[in-house]
Amino acid sequence: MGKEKIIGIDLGTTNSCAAVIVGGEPVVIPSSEGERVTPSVVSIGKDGTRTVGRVAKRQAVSNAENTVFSIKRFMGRRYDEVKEESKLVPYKVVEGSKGEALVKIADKTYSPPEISAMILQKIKTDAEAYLGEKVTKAVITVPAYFNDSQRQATKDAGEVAGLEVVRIINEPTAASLAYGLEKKKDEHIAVFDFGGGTFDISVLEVWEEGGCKVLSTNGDTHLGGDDLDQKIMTWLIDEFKKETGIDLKNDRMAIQRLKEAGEKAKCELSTTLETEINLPFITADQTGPKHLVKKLTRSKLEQLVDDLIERTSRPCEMALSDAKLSAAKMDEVVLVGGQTRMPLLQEKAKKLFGKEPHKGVNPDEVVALGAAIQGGVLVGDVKELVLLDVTPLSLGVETLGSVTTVLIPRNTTIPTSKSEVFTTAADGQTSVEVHVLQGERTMAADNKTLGRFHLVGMPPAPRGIPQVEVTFDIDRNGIINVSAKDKGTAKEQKITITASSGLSKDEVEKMKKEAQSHEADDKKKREEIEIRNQADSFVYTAEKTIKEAGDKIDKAVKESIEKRISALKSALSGSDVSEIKKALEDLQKELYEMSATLYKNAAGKEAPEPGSQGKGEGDKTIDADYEIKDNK
Amino acid sequence: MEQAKKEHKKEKEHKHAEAAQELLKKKDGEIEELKDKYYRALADLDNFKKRAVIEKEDTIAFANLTLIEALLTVLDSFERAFDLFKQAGQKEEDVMGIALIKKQFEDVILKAGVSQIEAQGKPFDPNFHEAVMKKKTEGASEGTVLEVLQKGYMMHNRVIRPVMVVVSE
Repeated sequence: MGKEKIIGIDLGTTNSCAAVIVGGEPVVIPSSEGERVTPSVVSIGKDGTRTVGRVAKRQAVSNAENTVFSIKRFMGRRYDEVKEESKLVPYKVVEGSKGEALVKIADKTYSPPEISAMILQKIKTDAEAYLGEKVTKAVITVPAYFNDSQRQATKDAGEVAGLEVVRIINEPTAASLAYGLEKKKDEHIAVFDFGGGTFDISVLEVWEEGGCKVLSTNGDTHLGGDDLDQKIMTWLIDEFKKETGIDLKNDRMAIQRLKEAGEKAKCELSTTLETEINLPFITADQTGPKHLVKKLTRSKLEQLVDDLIERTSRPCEMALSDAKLSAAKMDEVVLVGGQTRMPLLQEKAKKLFGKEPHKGVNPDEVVALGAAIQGGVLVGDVKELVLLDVTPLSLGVETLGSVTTVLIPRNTTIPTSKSEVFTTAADGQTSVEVHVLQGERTMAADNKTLGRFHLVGMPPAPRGIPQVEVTFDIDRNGIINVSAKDKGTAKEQKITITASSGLSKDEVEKMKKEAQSHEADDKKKREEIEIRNQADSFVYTAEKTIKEAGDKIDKAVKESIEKRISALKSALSGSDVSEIKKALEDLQKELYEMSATLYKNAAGKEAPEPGSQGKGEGDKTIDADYEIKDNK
Repeated sequence: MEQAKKEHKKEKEHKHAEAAQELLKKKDGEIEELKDKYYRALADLDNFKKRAVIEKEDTIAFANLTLIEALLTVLDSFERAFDLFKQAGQKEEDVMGIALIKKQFEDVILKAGVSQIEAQGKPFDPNFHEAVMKKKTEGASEGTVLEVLQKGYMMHNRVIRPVMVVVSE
């Protein structure tokens, strides 16, 4: 069909994430399992079947020698470079004929790019299922310290998976893109990436729009969120031993529960100061069942992991000195990796670089989102949406009771158009006034007048009968056209309001704040006016009904209703809303009873329309409560 | 003299015509580009709507998922309690009340569309099971579920928690 989407992929050590531009914004592509990240795990069964992702992880323990994780550590490396790493994994790492590192599983050897390609293949398939279209192009991210060989290996992995890797970008650069920092000029950015298994710090320089360069990188390849989980688990085991004498270290099931509970507690403590770890029936001995109930405070957790957090200091200092910059020279700090949700880590980053870190974007997804943005730029997607604007304040007209009826609510994306049909408030009204308003307040007087015009020459008719269609149209430059058309005579009148005749940016902010502080008041006012309008309308309807029914109504009933009408009229001249409400209800009750009798008696004969619940007649007009005032 | 003037005029007209043609071509190109962008935007919106419908249905079906996942850990504690009761030789009638509460709990989640995954003795399937331990056992063929450490559950047609198992080597 033409312009194909380019997806962005964060091919991580522990987890991978993919995103794509939809409607001008990057969104995460969910996996076929419905998750937003896919574990970077591949397994080959004895029969040769491949499993990737969450399912592969589930059989890691029972099939350890043939389950590959953290393959990223071996991408583009020579065998003698990774001798230490290979000792830490249960699968076999062997040397290839050219000295490269290969993995041997299920009696076959695979290159790391081939393994990564299996992960990328799953991502490709899941993306195609989500988007409903073919995906053949991607932007893939790599750590800033990856050398040529490692970058080429990543590109090769993409090719094997059937993806054209249109660009390889650095992970810290992608994170900066996700925050829109590439639009800055002559700035220095520190990207603090604390993930599940590794810690990376990068210092970037942005010298103009789109010109982004990595000045230095550093880190700790074996420092991550998993290490914090381990600390919590060790503490729980020690405490339990102290209290009960039982060592849970060798109880597989208990360890599993402790691990999950510990990780959950760690996450909770990022937003609360204290949490309880409650594991009933954790084990049993001769004296009976044992339970583990332990309170963990945020400060205790910070104590437990303090040395781990401290390990981020030296790499950051070295990265700064390699870039020949001081912490003070840093303009922005960006956080990447789920663990950076922890307040202690955020404070650490702030202390090290002297700036409040950016943290609005999900730190697990920020790199993938940035890669998607890069893909969008290459395809021309992102440029388009930057042109779309929104109306900062609501736009509407003044209606019966001097209130504002909104036609286009604030934050509506423009260009846009909205029409509504209004009617007249008084019998014989031959013109309507359209008072165009901008603002959030209920009373028209509290909003800004953008313009005013009249539609004249309407044939006199009972109130509520005419249909006047009011249309608001805002074009992409913010120019507002308001028109009023009498559907009966096709007479039309309109005005054009240019963007500058509205409120300035400061005034907009002021208006929003005022609307907020007056919200409760305004709401009450609006409700009162609605009741008034309802009552007013009903008086009219009731009088009309009585008149038209003539002598079909019993005299006593007629007198009683007329008394009710007077009572309502006098309540309307006062200011007690509850009195109006009561008078309205009394009148409604009697009028409905009378109408019911009429229908019963006049079986077959045409009976006058009973008053509708105060909303005025005709079902073609919307909200006849809101009627345009006659110009006086 | 007249002839030269005429020719000059003709040349000018010719140049004007050419320029107009150029401009038309350019405008045509712009129109095509705009049309393309317009249709693309419409298509994007359409696809977005389609996706929104699917996501909405999904959200409604799994609205209770977070709550149910949290409740499953409570149910786990009940299971564990009864395992230990059995081990300790606890008499059934003494814990009948608690057993009924456990059943009540199970009925509630059953009505919410949650069902247990059977695993004991079945061939290990990572789509439904998660292996946390391997054990060498006589008589059991390789890759069979020997023991269920924690129950697994499905909600509607999706695995919401795999069964935690011990697999035979």
